[in-house]
Amino acid sequence: MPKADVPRSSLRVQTVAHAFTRSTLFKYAEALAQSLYNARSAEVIGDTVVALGDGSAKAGLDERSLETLRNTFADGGAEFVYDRFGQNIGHAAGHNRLFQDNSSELLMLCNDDVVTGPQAVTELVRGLLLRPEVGLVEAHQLPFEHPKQYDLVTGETGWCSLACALTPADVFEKLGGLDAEWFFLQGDDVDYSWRLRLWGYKCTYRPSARVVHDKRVDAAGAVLISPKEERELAEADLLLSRKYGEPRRFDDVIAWYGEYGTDAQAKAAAAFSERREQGRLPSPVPGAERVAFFRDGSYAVHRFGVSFSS
Amino acid sequence: MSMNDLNDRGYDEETVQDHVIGLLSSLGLHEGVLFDLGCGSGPIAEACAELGLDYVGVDVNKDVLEDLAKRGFSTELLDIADTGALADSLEGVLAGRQLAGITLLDVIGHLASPSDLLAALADLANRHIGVPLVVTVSNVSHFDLAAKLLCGRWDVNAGGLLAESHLSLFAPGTLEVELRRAGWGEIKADDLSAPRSDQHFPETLTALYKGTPLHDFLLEVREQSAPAALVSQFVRAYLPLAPSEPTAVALSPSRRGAAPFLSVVVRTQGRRPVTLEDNLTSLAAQTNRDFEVVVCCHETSDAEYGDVEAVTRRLPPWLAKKTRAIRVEGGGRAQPLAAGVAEATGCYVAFLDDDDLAFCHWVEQFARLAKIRPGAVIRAGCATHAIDEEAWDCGVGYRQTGPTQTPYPLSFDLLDHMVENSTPNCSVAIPRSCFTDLGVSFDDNLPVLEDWDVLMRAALLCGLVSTPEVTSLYRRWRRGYASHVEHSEAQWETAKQSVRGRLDARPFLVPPGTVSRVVELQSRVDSLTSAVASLEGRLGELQLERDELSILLQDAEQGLVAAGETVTEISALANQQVAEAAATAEQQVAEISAGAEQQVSEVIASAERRVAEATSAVAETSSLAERRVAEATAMAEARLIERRAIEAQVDVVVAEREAALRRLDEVADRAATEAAARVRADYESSRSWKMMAPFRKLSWFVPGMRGRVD
Repeated sequence: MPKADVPRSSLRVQTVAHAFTRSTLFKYAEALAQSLYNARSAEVIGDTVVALGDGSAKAGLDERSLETLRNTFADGGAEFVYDRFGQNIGHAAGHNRLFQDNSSELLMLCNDDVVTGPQAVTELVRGLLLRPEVGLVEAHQLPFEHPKQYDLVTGETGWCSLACALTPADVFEKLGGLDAEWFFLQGDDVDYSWRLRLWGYKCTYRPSARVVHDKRVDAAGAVLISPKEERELAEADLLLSRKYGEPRRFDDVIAWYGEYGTDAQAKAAAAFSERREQGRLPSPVPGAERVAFFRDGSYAVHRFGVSFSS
Repeated sequence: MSMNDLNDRGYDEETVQDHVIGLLSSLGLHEGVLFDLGCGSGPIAEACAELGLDYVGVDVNKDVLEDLAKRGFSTELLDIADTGALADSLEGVLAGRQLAGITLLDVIGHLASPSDLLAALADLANRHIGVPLVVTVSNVSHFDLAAKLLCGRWDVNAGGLLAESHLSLFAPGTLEVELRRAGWGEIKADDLSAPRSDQHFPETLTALYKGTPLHDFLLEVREQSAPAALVSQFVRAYLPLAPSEPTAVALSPSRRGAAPFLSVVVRTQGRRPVTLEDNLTSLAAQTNRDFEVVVCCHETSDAEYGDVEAVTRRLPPWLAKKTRAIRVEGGGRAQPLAAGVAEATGCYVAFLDDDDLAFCHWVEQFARLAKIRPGAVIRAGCATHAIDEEAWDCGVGYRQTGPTQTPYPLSFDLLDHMVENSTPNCSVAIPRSCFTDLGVSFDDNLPVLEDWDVLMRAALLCGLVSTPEVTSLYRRWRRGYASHVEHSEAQWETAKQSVRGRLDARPFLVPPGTVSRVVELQSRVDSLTSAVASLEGRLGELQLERDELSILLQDAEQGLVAAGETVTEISALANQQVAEAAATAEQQVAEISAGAEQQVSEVIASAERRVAEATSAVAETSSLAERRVAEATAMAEARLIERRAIEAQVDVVVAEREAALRRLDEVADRAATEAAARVRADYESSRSWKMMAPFRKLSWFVPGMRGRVD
């Protein structure tokens, strides 16, 4: 194993899960533990904590399952902590809550439907620490790579998915974590990325940090999403439009969803029309035009098309 | 009745003898004692003697031994079924002589438990060095028996393959198991083949008729399934196993214990560790873990193999335990797949190239379908997208460059697949039994399309069940190595023809629904044929029209030719006439020119004369004019002088007149003055204004009077 080219850092991995099975969780844990083990062997991480926020409404994990997870992560050299939320408090709020106990230098956010590749953690850490201006680094997802354009040399990109990403803990704290006031399950990654860039940090993509994100396609090759997910994406789009778009954009999106959108998008538009009347919308972010990008429902230039099916 | 008596009544024993003697000879046995156990009439005795061996016939039948003795051969009356003292007894027979070999010709099939005898002989052989055992026994897996069993027939005979005295039945596998368990390892085989065995009856049984689809299909299945399809007698040579060698036959992998549902054979050349790692990570993400992974490293260097091992070492422990890498040398693309199959232990085998990816439910869907249709080939949907090599600051890798698509049909059509392959290898799982029991194998003679060949053969034997669920991702490289660019179009075409040719050369089973499909295709053919006939009719009409037009055209062309000729003639005539006219004209022109020239000359001359005359006249006129001008000028000058004189006279007259006028004015003034004086004087004298009136008027006409009055 070559000597590490970055300082060894303490790491906290956070996962917020609300609809999981034991087998899915173990699969995620075993892969993550191995990736942590490999990163530790590569001397890029030191003390490591894996925090699982359980947002399921069920009884939570039994002691046997927790013991299995503890042992699994112990094999990877990590301490495992479990926080049962008792209800689905959302992705953003879940991470913010878990982060309250943080004492690590680096914060990795990872979905429970992600299986980390053997070198994912090592490469994320290297991608973050080799360039001090980087505030967020995202992994390469399989089987479908995210279509965002990125700089082939620096990896710089418009925003990062938080399905599996790494950020300095102090930066996360400085930005006040994820925007849990407005974002629930979707859109908090774009919001965090843009806020981070407004502070002068870079968002980057690390192609050598590869993970499997459990996505499926339909017979036409369109990525399958649930109707609930589709509505959450539409709501996130409206929130981002409101916070970062030109004043007219929000109205345009509502009108478009209402007139041409799917059922889920139309419902989202109706809900936001009501919220607008009630004055329950976020305030526009000053200087948003410097970081925001909207085109055809995406938030960065895409290098190939992706379609969704619900 | 001795055992060999039965053999004597069997089929073609001479040939068996030939094979036995050939085997003994090939083993280099030319001296020492050869025990022929259960020798019967000793049919190989003379041949053994010719080899230089001391033949000793051993049997329990005195009569046959007496006969042998009469022929000059040693004999020993022994019951070889008494295995307890057999080795010692035979050792006694040897009496210190060298033991060259032992034969058991058509013996063990007549024993209920031949293992004791075989073990006793192994004991004897182990007391010496390199003593071979030659065994012959009937093969009950001969095709004739298999075909008859399929038709419900089991015909026991006095002798032959199904001799009524047979107590043990042997197929290739069971023979190996029996001998090995007794401590013998096979070293050589020279089996006796009989395409038509003694069981080739009744003649009317269709399954036995070569050339019938049933016979040919069954024979092919039998021949592919296991060796010795047409062997009537196994003729095998064995040596005692070394103490270190296992006496148990290596069980087929599926019998080693809990075999996984699926064996995943990953083919790699070790040159893309990045995609290999992704491939294996996609396996780490499977929702169903009932599989093993065999990474087949084809023609990899030590360094490349080291990279592969490093990748497998970094996997999660549970997967690393299920994964093993093997090196495969030589051959083409099929070689590593075949090696992977040989290494596989699962009920099914699936194949991934190192740049393929499995969706998380890849194994899960295969397992689901295997429960629905056990034993069938399984096919799932497959997506594809383009990737490109890329170098980052963090290493060499690749990135996706195009959208994910599903260009392959989501259902399997057997007939369509006979035309070409539209099933990526990563989207199928094949029952391992196909390879181990039915003889399907990857053909290394095919440079490409080896997967299509296997898929079709397996699907035709096992049937196929499919799901439209997309479970794998076949990625196409825009640059760099890929089979579709590595091999030429000609190689692809040749391979395609080869696969089709093989399918065409054999009978096969078709699945239910094929007739409907054929009918549908035939209907389409009929429809197309009808359309073609209609088009051909129209074509005929058009051809008729064309023919008519051709005739018209021909006529027109002929007319054109005739017209051309006429034109030529007319042209010639016209040219001639023109030439004549031109000549005439020229002549006339010449004549006219000549006349004209003369006339012109005359005219010119006349004109010149007239000009001369005119010039002369002009000269005269000019002279006259000049004279007249001179005269006129002189006259004018004279008149001018006269005028000037007159003017002078006029001036004088004028001056005189003016002087006269001045004098007149002076006279008038004086007269007026005098008249006024007289008037005043009269006035003063008359004092009447009325008398003044005529004077006032008069004053207007009398100079010097105006104003004076007013």
